[in-house]
Amino acid sequence: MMVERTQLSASGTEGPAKEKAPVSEMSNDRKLEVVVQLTDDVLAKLTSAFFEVMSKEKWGKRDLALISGLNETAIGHILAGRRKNLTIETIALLARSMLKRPELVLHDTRPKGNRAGLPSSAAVALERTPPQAGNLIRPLTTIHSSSAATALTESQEHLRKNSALEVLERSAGEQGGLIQKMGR
Amino acid sequence: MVDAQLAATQAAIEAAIKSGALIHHRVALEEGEWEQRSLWLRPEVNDLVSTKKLDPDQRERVKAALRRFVIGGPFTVVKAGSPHGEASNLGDIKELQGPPPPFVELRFKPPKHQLRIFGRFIRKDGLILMSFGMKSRAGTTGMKPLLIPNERRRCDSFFSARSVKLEWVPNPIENSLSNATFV
Repeated sequence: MMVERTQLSASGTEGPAKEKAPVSEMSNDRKLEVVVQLTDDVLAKLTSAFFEVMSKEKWGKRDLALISGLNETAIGHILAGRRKNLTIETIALLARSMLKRPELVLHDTRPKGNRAGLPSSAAVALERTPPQAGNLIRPLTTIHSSSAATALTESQEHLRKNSALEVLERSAGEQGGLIQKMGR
Repeated sequence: MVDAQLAATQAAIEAAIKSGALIHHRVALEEGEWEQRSLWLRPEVNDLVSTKKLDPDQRERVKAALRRFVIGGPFTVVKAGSPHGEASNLGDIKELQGPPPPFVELRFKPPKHQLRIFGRFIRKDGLILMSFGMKSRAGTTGMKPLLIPNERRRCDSFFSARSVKLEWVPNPIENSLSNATFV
């Protein structure tokens, strides 16, 4: 049976691929940028988990070393960002010792035509405020429950609402009108 | 009251941007990302981030952390009176000792020298980064010595000169940031 490859068109609708998409090599700067961004994300989450386990369970690096079998100094180096070539095995053991289940999430960066990532506008901000099923943006609750690695918290939802209001304010200000505030 | 303060804060920031005293730090957003926090940089900090003054790896680390800030990613904050000595060097943001309102530093770990960028929150999820310094255990940094009282004074002068009121700064530090862990 022949399987037809599909891709998202610029407008965000799914359809069969007509031709091979162009391929372009990443520059060295871009490679460094994407590697550092992921490293930053992983370290931020590990450090956050460490802070949490330190506050809730009163565990320190020594306890995590006992649990995971990792070297205590190595844990310190990892959390301080000094450890290069962090392996998946180390991340898994360290995360589990801090009572977290790590999971890799690959966010699709293909354009979906949902205007995410485009310059902010009041309309876009308003659109994004209520995360609803059917929205191209994944509902916050789903993300929260399914992804330990990139979980958004309730506070981010709060942030999102604030952001929407700020964009509205900016927009109103730019038009020379009064700043309209919604329930603030 | 709160609305008036927000409007005044916004007006002061906009005036500072117009005069070139502040630069709104924007990041390239990808699918599903949007600006959830606001970040403004003094020109010298902006130069540090956008030119080749730093080692490329460290520059990218700084940019990645600032990007995480803007898109609302998780941040760890060590409070001035934190009882967890073990965590004092691990947080993204450290509240420095001293009189209120909170004065903070962002720490960027090696390579080479430990970079610290100083600033203050002007409102919840709105941060101004004022100045920077380097500390190193491995010899000289090639920069002027880092004296935190001087950085704090510089920050105070900016606030005073730009009609940014110190009482606008969220206090205590827990009021400064959403999606953050404080210890």
